[in-house]
Amino acid sequence: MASNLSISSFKIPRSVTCLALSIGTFIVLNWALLKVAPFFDSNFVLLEGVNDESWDAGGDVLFLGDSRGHQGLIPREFEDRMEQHGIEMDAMNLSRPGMQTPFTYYFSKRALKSAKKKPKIVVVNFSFYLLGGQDWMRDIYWAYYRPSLRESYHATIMRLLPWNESAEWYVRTRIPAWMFRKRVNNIVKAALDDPRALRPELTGIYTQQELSGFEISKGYYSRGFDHISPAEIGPHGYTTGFEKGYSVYFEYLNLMLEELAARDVQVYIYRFPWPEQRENDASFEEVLDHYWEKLKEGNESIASVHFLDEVYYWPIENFADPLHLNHPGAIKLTRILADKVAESSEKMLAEKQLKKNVAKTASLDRQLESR
Amino acid sequence: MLFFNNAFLIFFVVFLPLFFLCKGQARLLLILTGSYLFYGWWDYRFLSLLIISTGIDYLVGLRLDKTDAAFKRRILLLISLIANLGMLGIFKYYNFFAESFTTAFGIPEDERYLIQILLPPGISFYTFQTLSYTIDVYRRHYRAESNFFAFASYVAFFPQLVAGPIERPGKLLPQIKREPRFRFANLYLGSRLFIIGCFKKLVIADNLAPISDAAFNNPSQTTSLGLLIGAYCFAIQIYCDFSGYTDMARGIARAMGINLSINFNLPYLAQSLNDFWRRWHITLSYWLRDYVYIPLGGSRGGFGKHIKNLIITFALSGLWHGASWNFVLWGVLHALWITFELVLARATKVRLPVTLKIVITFNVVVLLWILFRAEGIRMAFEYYTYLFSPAVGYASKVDLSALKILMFYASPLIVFSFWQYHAKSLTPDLRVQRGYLTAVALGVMLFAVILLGAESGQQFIYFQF
Repeated sequence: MASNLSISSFKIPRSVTCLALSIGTFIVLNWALLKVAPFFDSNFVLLEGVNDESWDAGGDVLFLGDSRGHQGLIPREFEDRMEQHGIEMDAMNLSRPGMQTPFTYYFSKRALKSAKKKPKIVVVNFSFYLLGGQDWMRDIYWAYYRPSLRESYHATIMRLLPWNESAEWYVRTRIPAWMFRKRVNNIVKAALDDPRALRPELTGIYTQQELSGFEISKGYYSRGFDHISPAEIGPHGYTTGFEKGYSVYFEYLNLMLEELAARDVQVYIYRFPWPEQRENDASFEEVLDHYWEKLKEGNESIASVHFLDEVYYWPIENFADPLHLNHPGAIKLTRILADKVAESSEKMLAEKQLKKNVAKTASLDRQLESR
Repeated sequence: MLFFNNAFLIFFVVFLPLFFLCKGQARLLLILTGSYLFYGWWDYRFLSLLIISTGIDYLVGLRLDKTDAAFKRRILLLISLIANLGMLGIFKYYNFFAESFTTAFGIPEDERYLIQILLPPGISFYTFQTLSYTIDVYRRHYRAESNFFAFASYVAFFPQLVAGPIERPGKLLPQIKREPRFRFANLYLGSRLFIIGCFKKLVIADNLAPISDAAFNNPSQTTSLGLLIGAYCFAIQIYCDFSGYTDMARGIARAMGINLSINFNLPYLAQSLNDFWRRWHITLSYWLRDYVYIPLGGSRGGFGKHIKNLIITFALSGLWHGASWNFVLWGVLHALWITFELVLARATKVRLPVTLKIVITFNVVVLLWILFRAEGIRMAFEYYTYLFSPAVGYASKVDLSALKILMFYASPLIVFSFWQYHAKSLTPDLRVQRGYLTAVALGVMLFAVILLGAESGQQFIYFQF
């Protein structure tokens, strides 16, 4: 005899099943899109290495900055050079194209929070043309960097973004269909226009993805060995005043330096090399000095912040384009900065030791006096 | 607030549960508050017009219900007409009439008096909706609504406030007053309509807009083929823009358990222009039929009078769309083509194949859209001139890209429209495999809306009317 206790008249309404099926389909398609994204979206490739925290092993030295740092500082080269100075250090490069001060702040904070080995040193460059404007942030960071709830809230209270855009940033970067909308629209139009022209671009992205894996290069992206010709270096066209109306960038800079100082992290701010054709161009130097002084304002007095004042003008053989170094250029820059950091570390270590010794002597003196 | 903006989605996510939780007056007050918030999001000052219009028609309706004296009733109707059409006249038509008058009488420019005024969104829609209420109460087709919140919610009901469908009181008011019950089926069907509407608007209309904009902004520098593609793009754009809005509005209302009228029924598969107007913006067509065309005499009183009534009705329809002579001419030309169709049907017994009739009608509609889209009559004629005798050649390589974009974005619409046409149903997809396949397709469509939707969603075209 069948028990009627096991019989239930409850049936899930078909509309609920249908709704669930629609949502399920939507989720599966988004997941699939995320899987193929590295093959068609270079900006995604750039930031996914930051989002997925494949760098979570961390390092003693953290490189931050824009594309110039991303393509200009080689963690393994830095480690080798430091070893030559007798210092053992791990380095990682979290510089990414178009990085403006809000993201040097968020990236450093994320590295300090999530990395197993917390950074003790930050080496950073701030390209002056990124001290104003929002285009880069809009196209790369607000589109691809997945903020935590805390970060998106922080961006609102810092007035980097209004609350609704900040909320959109949080949600958009978690729904792949939304995240890739701009890129996919461009691809569709390009494919309809000339499908053959699209192929090299997509192949290039695949290669970039292959080369920029964190486990391979620790965040560095090589531009290869080709270099520019003198004809490619035109008049500079830069002016002062990019920073006007964007005081929020300096607020982020101050915040970053204060928080790093509070954790006793040493910050080295360096000036990026330029092609030697720019040397002796008074108006260019005036622009460089203007922004350098802006960065220094109020931060020079922080003991853990070191402004490396040297300006480098290098031959075109070191440049992949007028702004970025090629691989030999990157090796050169990395070695110079490693030497600077090593020298400074040794000096600091010696000073620390000296202070310790002085304190020890003073304590011994006091002990002797008391006897 | 646009339906596909984050602000609206947040608003609706909060609104919908409250709508089912609140009962009686509280629910009506919630609809009203939500609708005013929705409308005031553009500019809170526009709310004043909506409130004045609501107040006048509410009071006029009550008085009409209590009065039997014909003269008094006529005066009351006149008050409503003057107030509503007066507001519409000032905010939408003052500059048009003032400019036309001063141009006609050669008044110098410095002596002209024009006002700088913003057109409140959807003013033509809610004015026609409140007018239909007053006229229906006047004709005793409908009893006046004594509950102010119910009436005000009917006027301002946010899903259809700014671009229709223009609802009659007999259809919408009882649904607003009825206590709703939450049903998953309504939520699912509402979502379905909403997503289809978003697809039409964001994927098709907004992606075709740049091509039509480029052609209409610079006809002298566009090839013949480019202008033709531009006109086709605009035809698809305006259909997907407006019917997409209607689908979204119907979807939102459906989730609340309210059925709004169907406003489009495959208009581009109409077999004549007469048929077209029974399929395009149906609620406006029927409004004009019931409150203008039939009171004028309709088709009674001989062929000449019939044509005159058609021309008056279509000229008003054109004027309703925009305060400019090109809209009036657009309406009149529609009336003339319908006249031509009537004459042809009377004069000959030859019946064209259905496909040919559809092709002819569609192309006439597209050619007349040029007048609708152009900024003024001169611009429209310039477009027509360059279409047939171009300044930069008949075709170029750029046109091929534009054509591919048109085909790519319009193809889902074309395929689905033919399916609907052959299935003789606007919802043939609901029959497929007990709806499960439709559910999967809906998930794909939502994905496509977000992925392929134009990066910057544009304002709905019909909001300006």
